[in-house]
Amino acid sequence: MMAGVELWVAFLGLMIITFISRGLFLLIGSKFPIPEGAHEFLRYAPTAALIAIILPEVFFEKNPSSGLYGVNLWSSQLFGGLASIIGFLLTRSLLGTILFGMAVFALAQWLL
Amino acid sequence: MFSLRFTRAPSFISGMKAMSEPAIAVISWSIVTNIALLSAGLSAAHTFWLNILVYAGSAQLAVIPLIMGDYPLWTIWLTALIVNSRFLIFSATLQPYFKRHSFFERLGIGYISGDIVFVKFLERFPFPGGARNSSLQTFYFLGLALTHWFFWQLGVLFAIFFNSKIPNSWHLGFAGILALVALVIPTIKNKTACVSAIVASMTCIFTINFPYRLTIVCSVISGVLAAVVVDKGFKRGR
Repeated sequence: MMAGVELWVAFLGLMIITFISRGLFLLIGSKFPIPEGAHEFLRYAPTAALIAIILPEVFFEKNPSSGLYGVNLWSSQLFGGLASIIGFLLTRSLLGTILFGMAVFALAQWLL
Repeated sequence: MFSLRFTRAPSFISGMKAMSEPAIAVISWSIVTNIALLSAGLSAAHTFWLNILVYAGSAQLAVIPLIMGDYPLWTIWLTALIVNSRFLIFSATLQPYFKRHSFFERLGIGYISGDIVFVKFLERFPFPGGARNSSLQTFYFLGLALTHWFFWQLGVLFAIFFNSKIPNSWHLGFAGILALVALVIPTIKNKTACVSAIVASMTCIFTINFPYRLTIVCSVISGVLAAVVVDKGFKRGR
């Protein structure tokens, strides 16, 4: 493992990277304005990002040795995930979504 | 002199309220992420400062094996940059909302934005509102982002102090994922959003094993491009 000073240098570099990646287009805004037409479509970015965070944990299973994801359509995560969608549609609340999903997830873990 | 008066603005408070619902997702993500850092061998002090300084969960997770393996610094930084590449797109999206602010204010605004902050902000303000709404948007954003920061760091402390006492069987990470389900469904409210979401899902499935979690940025790009194509199709149809 990295020791002492080098670790802190790594951390400071990572901090600068957070500033750059989250701020780049905010900062160069005056020289590089985002046209209104482009913004119209960038609005769809957050949904896509969330989907790409959710799907791997629901439809896939990570192989612990290779670290690669493989499809698994018979898992407690999948049933829990589907139940959470139903939970959302029924209750329209975050708590309802989680409770529905976790209940079915736990049940599926016990049964499968 | 920097003033904290903004914390009493109604839009700041409604931003805080809007973030308190997904707080459960933020805390559980933070706990899961930081337990992973701690069990990889990072000390409590280093874990704490990493979160304060870097404040980017997915990048932290990605670089920790490299830090532990004594990899060269540039590979660590490059990895973080690639994992964070989706934020470049987010920062372009946020640009029209905050162009009135000074350089350092924009630097701070960028730094404290993250996935969930971004989703909630665009849900409330899908279009930049011009001068009239400018401070309203900024206060709302700060309410969201500072609340997110607070809950994230709370999760860090929780992970540090209760690391050994949080059983794996709690499945906190999965509860966090389910909270995101409740965040994502309401954003899919028209035909364009629906097609965009389907294309993003397909892209995610096909790119899932790309290194550096590139699947996220690939899905974002394809989702946005799909929206462009669908919209063009609609306009031609009309």
